[in-house]
Amino acid sequence: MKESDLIQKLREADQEAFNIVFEKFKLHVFNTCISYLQHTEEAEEVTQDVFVEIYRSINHYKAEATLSTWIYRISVNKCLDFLRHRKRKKRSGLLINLFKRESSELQIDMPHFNHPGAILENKEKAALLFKVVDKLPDQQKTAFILSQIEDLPQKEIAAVMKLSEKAIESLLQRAKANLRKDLEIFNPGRRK
Amino acid sequence: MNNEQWKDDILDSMRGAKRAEPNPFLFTRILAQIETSEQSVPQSYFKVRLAVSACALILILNVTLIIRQVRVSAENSEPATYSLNDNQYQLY
Repeated sequence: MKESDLIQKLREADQEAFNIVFEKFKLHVFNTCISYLQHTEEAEEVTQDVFVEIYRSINHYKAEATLSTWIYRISVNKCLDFLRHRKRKKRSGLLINLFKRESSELQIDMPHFNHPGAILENKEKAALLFKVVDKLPDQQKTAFILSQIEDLPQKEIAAVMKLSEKAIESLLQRAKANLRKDLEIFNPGRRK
Repeated sequence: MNNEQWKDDILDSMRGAKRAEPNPFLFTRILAQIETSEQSVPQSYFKVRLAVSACALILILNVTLIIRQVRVSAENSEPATYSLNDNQYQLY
């Protein structure tokens, strides 16, 4: 089915068309979410929200972007919103804990994340990668995830983020430089 | 392995990774959420209508009161008219 026909059917609330879109994009959306949130259940929750949003706002979709770009944009925005919400919750939790407990044991950091798709021999390295990616600023994080993990071409990343290709290149360079800097403290050679 | 090579390996560690699969019941959950939200739309419309009606009622009551108030004060502030005879203007 042509993309324009699919979109037309989606606008008519055709469930079969919605199923086709889900099957076509579920892995892209879920894997993008899992890279941002580093938590399988939360990634599923946000993936669910992304598809509900697609169903509801298909009438606002403009053909100036491809369906894939539009869906990636919704996914990135939902993930960033979720991360902000999580950060706020964490901050208020910290405050509550400060007032409630006398002890200084505050363990609210996310546990070590193992990506379910990482190759066995790379599991530890991938876990370390996600640990440092989590510290990147939002835009650098988005550029890095879409480029290095989702393997999108720079042109599509630029369309998703509504930036120029040059800006994406610069964001990627900065992201890699920051990741290298953060990785320094985990380097086994450095500990000797 | 040198330091830079080790960092490169970390940065490239997701290359060739498999895609993670979501829960097989995810689509059913999405359809259920859409259905639930569609059912709850009339309730939210009802709330909006109720709020608009309440505002309209308050506005009508206020306007009525203001009009009545203006009428009453207009009646009270009308200059008193006295009918005086010519005789009454005579000075003693």
